[in-house]
Amino acid sequence: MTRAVPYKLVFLILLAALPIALCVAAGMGAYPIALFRIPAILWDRIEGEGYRVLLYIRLPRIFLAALVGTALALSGAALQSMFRNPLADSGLIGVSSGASLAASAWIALAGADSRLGLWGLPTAAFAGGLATVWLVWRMARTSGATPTATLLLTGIALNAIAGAGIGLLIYCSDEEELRSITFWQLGGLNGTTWPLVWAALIPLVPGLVLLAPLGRALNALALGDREAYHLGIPVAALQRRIVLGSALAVGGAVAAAGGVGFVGLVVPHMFRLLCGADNRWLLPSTAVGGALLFLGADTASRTLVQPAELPVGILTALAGGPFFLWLLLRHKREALHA
Amino acid sequence: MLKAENLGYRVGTRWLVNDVSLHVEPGEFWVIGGANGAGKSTLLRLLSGELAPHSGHVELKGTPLRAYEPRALARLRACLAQDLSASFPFTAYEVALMGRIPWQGQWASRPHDHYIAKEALAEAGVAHLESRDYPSLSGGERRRVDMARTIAQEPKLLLLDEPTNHLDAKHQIELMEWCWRHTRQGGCAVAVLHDLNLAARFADRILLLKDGHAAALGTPEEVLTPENLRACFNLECVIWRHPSGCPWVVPVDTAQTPRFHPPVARCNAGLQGAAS
Repeated sequence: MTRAVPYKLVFLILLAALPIALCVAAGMGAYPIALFRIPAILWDRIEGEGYRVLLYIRLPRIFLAALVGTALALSGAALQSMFRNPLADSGLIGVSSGASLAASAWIALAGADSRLGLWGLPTAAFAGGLATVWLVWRMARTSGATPTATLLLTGIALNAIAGAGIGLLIYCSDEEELRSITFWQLGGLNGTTWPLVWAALIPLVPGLVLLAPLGRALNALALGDREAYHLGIPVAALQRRIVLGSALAVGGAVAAAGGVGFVGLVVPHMFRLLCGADNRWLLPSTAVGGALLFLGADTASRTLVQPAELPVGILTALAGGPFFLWLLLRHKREALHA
Repeated sequence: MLKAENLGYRVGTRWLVNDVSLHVEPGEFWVIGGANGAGKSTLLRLLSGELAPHSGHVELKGTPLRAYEPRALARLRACLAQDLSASFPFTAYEVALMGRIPWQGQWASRPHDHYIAKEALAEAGVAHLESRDYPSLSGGERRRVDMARTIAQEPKLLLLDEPTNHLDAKHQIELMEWCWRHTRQGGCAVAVLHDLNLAARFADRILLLKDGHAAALGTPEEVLTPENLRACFNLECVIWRHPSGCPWVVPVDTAQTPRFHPPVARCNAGLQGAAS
């Protein structure tokens, strides 16, 4: 079956849509700013309310939303190829559940607004995510090689354990903590400041740099570990790189935005249904697509019920889910084979 | 070109391959035969460098396999594994183009790579399938697309694990002919085959394995004898002649084999009567 949409076209459309989406998102909110005024405000540094809202409230948040979306989608795409399973995502190697457990523990034991303030919670979440991935990796490792199936099962087992831990913490915590844990798990970017963005870049950038150039190697890996080796891919090194890159990228994303995972599953899948599986196009396209989806979800989360906020995790699922279903129904026959 | 000395590979205390030596010269087509579980696939994986032997060593072009970078090795040898399944909607063309990975840089494919991938699809007889989804193809079609990927890799040494699986009779012959031509052009090929008659027809040398040991090694004429086949497969055979003159293995009935059905015999007799 020839797919109707060429890779290049979709990638270029996504790329062109990104700056437009960034501007639109920057203009929307409780204090609306007209789209055409944004460049002028930023360029001429017109001091005033608009400049301050734009520079100190909107821009850091929009920037972080795009980065988080990119990180989730890119690592989702890489892990799907590695596990040769279109339903894999960063949850499978334990990073999300580990981060979630650590964040819940932090809230329950130290309190959401402890002395360490704003920084304690994201740092704990990031460390928890990374530690869990390391555990999964070490346990799945057998005499130099890491069989993909074992890695998958170890991840599932640790996810269950982390889930039990979170349940226990929820059981032990009081009303206030319970509310904080629940909201953390639903995700959100409210209160993003520039320092938080710079801090999030520390793990995100190396993670993205590790994952982004892997297109051709991931294509070979999608055929099978043995086939990839036969095609001259150093499989063990590639696996390490994917796991490390995903752990850094998703760890950073989850630390900054809380429990959001749906983006990583659905964006690569959408691209595959539209165009095909060639990872050389899939990786850059999902990176941009993930940024768009998460930016859209975050913008909706802060504008739909303003001045209050909807948790963004609800919105990513609400926006991505039906679109995903529609694509599946449209391509039912292909999807059955995929 | 490919030289293996006293190869051994064990899992726990069980030796899957034990003390096998072989020396494949350029221009030779080798076939490895043997019963299920005799160690054929394991031997092939040792020869590909995928498994490290517990004893002995493998050399390719005079250099130990362990000393090769994966990429340098992939430019010399290609493998067709037993059964492949892709869970992602790659097109047949994209799969064939993956054969060029050892020759390419990170991103762009040169026009030359596209040319070779197209040629390989045509050689494997699947040019008409190039824009189809690989996972939606039939088993035999997938097999031929995999073969196209192997061809696109432009290897000197071909390692094939039951390459004729899923293929119909004509495509089996075509695939064997392609491998044979590859060897006549100075390459070499080692194939695991269950079809002894295809082996007899195309192989220069046949290696029969039994319980990981080399039970017989030589030309088809030397190896395909009733004694060797009885020892390796526990099967009674008589050796006839193919029209081309090469040996033709015909398994003989055992006590459990159903008798030849009389009505069919009568029918055949009737047809012969009508013809004359």
